[in-house]
Amino acid sequence: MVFYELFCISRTRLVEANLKDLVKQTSLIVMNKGGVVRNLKPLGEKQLPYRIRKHQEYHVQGYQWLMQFDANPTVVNELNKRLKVDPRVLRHAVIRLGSKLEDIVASAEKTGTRV
Amino acid sequence: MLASVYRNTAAKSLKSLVPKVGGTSAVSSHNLVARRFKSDDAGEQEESRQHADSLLNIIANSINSQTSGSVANEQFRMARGNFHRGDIYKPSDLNDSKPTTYAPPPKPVDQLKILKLNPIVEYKNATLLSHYITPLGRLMSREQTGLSAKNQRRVTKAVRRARAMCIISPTAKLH
Repeated sequence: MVFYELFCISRTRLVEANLKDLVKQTSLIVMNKGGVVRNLKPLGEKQLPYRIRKHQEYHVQGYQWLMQFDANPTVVNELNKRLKVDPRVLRHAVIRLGSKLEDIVASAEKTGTRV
Repeated sequence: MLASVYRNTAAKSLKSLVPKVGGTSAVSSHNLVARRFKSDDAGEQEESRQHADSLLNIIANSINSQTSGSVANEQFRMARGNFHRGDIYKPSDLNDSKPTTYAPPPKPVDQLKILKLNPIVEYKNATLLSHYITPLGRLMSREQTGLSAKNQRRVTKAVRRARAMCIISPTAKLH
């Protein structure tokens, strides 16, 4: 099991139900493949540093959220495929945090971010 | 002692050459001319007086330096190290105020190493990464950041990742 982090920027002004659905679906992808979702964290609606073009539209704001999970590397491929196609998602990146929990936790304490 | 004698005689001989103000017939005989060009004449006299003074100084100094046991030489010897006859010195040797050697620059300290932070994990932390980019959003060199080679590589990777993920602007430092 490897610790991963999905950093996702989704469209702003999504209906709450729609946003919840998006998050739920991505979590289910991980869980159905035998992964464990550790943390779901909203980072808020933010002005993007530059304009994005995605799904034939220009975007200047985005809603950022984070999902931390342990899973097999094969799960990551599946996630990427689904998120690329989803019209609600502007940017996504799955980043490998590490293999040891201690390293990740220690770093978070210093910078004040909650894991 | 001898030097002063020389100096006085030199001064006297030179002073006899300088015309005194408001004296001699050359000025008073031509009244009209003198009145009209009075200012010029006075200026000329003043100039020549000053010229003479400077000449005196030059001569006095040269006389001083020629004599071996003079006061000036003694002072020079005291000032900086040992000066011997025939030595070549530069003006800075006589000046005790500024040091000749400069302090070595301070050794750069790797902040991330001390804080035990992994910059790759902090790719989301725009505030942290903005310390390592210029106001125009460009990555700073290792000389500027003071990071170790390993951490510099990781910071570069984190910044490029953050740029791609729309966390940092590639052209500005916003946070």
